Amino acid sequence: MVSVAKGKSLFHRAKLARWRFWAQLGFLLAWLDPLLVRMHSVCGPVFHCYSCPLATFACPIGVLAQFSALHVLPLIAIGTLVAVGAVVGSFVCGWACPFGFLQDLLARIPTPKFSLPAWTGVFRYVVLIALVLAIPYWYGEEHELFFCCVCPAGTLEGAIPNTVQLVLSRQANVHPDPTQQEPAASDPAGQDATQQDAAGQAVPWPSRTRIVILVAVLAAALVAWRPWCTLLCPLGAIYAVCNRFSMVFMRFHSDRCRDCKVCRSLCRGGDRPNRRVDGLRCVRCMECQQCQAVSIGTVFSPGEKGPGGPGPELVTLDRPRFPSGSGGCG
Amino acid sequence: MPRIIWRAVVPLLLLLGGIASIQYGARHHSVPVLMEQEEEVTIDVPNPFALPPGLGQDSPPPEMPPFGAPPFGPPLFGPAPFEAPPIKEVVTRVTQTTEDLLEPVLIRDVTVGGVRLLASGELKRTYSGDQGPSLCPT
Repeated sequence: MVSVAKGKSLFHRAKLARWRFWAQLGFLLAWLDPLLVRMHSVCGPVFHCYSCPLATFACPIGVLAQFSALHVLPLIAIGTLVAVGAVVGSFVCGWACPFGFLQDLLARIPTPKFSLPAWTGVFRYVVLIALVLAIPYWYGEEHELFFCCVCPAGTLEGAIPNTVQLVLSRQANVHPDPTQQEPAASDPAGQDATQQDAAGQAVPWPSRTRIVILVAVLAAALVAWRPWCTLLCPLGAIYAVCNRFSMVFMRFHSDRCRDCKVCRSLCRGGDRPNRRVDGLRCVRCMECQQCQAVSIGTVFSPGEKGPGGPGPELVTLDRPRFPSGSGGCG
Repeated sequence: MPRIIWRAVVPLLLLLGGIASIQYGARHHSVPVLMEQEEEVTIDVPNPFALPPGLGQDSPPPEMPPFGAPPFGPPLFGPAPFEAPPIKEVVTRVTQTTEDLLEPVLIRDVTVGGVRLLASGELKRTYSGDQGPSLCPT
């Protein structure tokens, strides 16, 4: 009887996690400006470049970096991140972020996957402090390590589409008579012919650094789960901090743990839910909910009754539940 | 019980703080930004074909009669033949003003690379009109 109940609960949880794809798809449509309103005065909560021709909102990280370069405190961006983070934490990363969705799609390609150690999530704070805040503040937006200049989402969603759009628009404006076109090599500036469009005008191509970073991130997404999110994303770093106190959070029920290590094997981010259910790199994809010991909770439902029975003693782990080598399932 | 209260109060306070920060930033947080406004004005430019002052004018030097005038008395057929009217030319005049921009406007401007920090520490808008300078600031 118990096994039947557990089997049923596993089915429901798997069904819940399956909604994630559709949620990501729905949010993607929302971020892609379907109504053509282009509300760039408003910061969105996700990592979506505002230079994208189809961006509804402004990227909060881009705004943080730009305002840091201007020496202005970005109250709206900070308020947006704090408010959203206080409610759902890194659910945004797992369920709404378009760049995370892209990496999830790439991860579906059947290739050997490697998992990185959890401590590598610290690099995200290095990126946040150095590239988003410090370098823009001290060196301005002209610095080659200014965050938006190396951002892979900016390259994919903003720089490449804008370059293509520019080239196409100039080609459309070129005089139909080919004799009227000047050859690219005759440009007095002597620039590389590959950087000239049909009209002989210089086209601002994305820098080589940007392209290399984008290709590296996309290639890494084939062999590791969400490499950008788990290693370098500054927005994920902010939401990971918010995981500690968000209204919606993940729970680990130690009384239901049977030391089966299922939760650990289900976590594609390399975290150990049985030790810290809201780990540093957790994006709350809820895959680990297929284990009966993990569930989702809110601050308004402290005495949640899960499928494993009443749970008045359920706790949320803020620290390692099982010390290393203590015989726990970690 | 205190832990439950703590767990509920902290996110609520942060949520309220975030909303308050958004509200304050959207309604009251403004930053002075230098702006250059271009306007087209019509000005009179001296005609380059006009004679220099003193020649062909109403008050010629006493020792030299105006060009084309008869040697004695006023000209018989109207004004001097080389008296050309000034040329009207349309020029663009740039005026610099300082405006306090609210933060939403500033956010929209930075998304198109429309605001720069000057060496003097002032912010300057890099474009005039409604159209931003570029779709991609970097």
